[in-house]
Amino acid sequence: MQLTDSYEPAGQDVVSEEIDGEVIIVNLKNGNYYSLTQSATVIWSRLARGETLEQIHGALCRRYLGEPGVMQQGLTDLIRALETEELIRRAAPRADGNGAPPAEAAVDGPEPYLPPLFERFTDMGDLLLLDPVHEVEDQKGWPHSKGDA
Amino acid sequence: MRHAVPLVSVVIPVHNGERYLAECIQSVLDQMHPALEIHVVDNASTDGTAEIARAFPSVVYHRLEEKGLAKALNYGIGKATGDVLAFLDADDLWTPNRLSLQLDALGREPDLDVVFGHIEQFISPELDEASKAKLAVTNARVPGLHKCAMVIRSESFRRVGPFEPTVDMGDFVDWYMRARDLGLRETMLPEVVARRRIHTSNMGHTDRAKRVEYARVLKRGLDRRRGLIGR
Repeated sequence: MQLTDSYEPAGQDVVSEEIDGEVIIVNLKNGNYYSLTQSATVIWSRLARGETLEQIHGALCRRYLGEPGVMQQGLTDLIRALETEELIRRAAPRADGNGAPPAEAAVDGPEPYLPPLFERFTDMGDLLLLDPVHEVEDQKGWPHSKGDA
Repeated sequence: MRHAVPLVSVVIPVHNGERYLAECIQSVLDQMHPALEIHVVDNASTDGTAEIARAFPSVVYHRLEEKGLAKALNYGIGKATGDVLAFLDADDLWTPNRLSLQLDALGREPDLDVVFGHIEQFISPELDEASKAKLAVTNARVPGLHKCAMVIRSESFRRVGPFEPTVDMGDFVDWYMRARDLGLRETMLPEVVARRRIHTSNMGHTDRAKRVEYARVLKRGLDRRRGLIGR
């Protein structure tokens, strides 16, 4: 792993969404799901838009008060864990990795560093592994009332 | 149970399901269970769904204009009077004898709340060869953690509560997480109890926006477990 490396979510079977400061990732290949909190949410959002590890590390150093070496270790540990779970894969550097920063919660200056937290859950595996192919499609599918979430 | 032979309420939600509905209902009637109550909830169909459902004298037909799969399911559940609840999507089939297998399991173990069985998929026969070729459908039996493979005591279902009406794709994920968290006792039979039809209206569904709903449902489940939101 090099600081110039960049990664991306490992295909369309890896689905993620950030909700209320927590990133939930679902791996529809194995039925596991995951929670990312604290600085892991920053890492995931920047990784998903193609930033290199160096760029992500820079963003962590700007956002958090902490030892850069500790933050780099936290970053590489998380990347290894995400790779082990087959949630990310190496990617070619992307143009948007140097673009505008991702939307993150506004902060008033650096805040104390909170190490990336990564939790794995396996309790819904058999259910999530049932092929979602069976559900309705956009045009012919189940109707919705206006205003449905 | 209130009845010596348990009354089974079957809820079949359907939206424009004229193509497969008759076969679906027939697979329920073929169970030969003497105490069946079949509720077909027609969710704003514009095709011949109503006529097909009404052609079965033993089917109770409901028309629901308020749209949504979970709403249709909940409506049917609200009309059900049985000791036991079961479900079937309007394009799927039950296998013969599934009810007797699952009811036997419930009868043997009074503390059991839910009985699942296995599911197998099949490609709908009318698909053309080009469409079939695009499918990577396995015929393997998989554990059917799906409402169509479930038989549940009505009182147990009501402890968990209805399907979440704001959820579309992850309706059963949401419900099942709540059931697990309440400690419902379940078993999984080795037999295939339902056959899921793959056809042109569902075979291509890989829409990412809808898949994201799984993440939202799981987040809500995690927050419930953390005590951050109510059940």
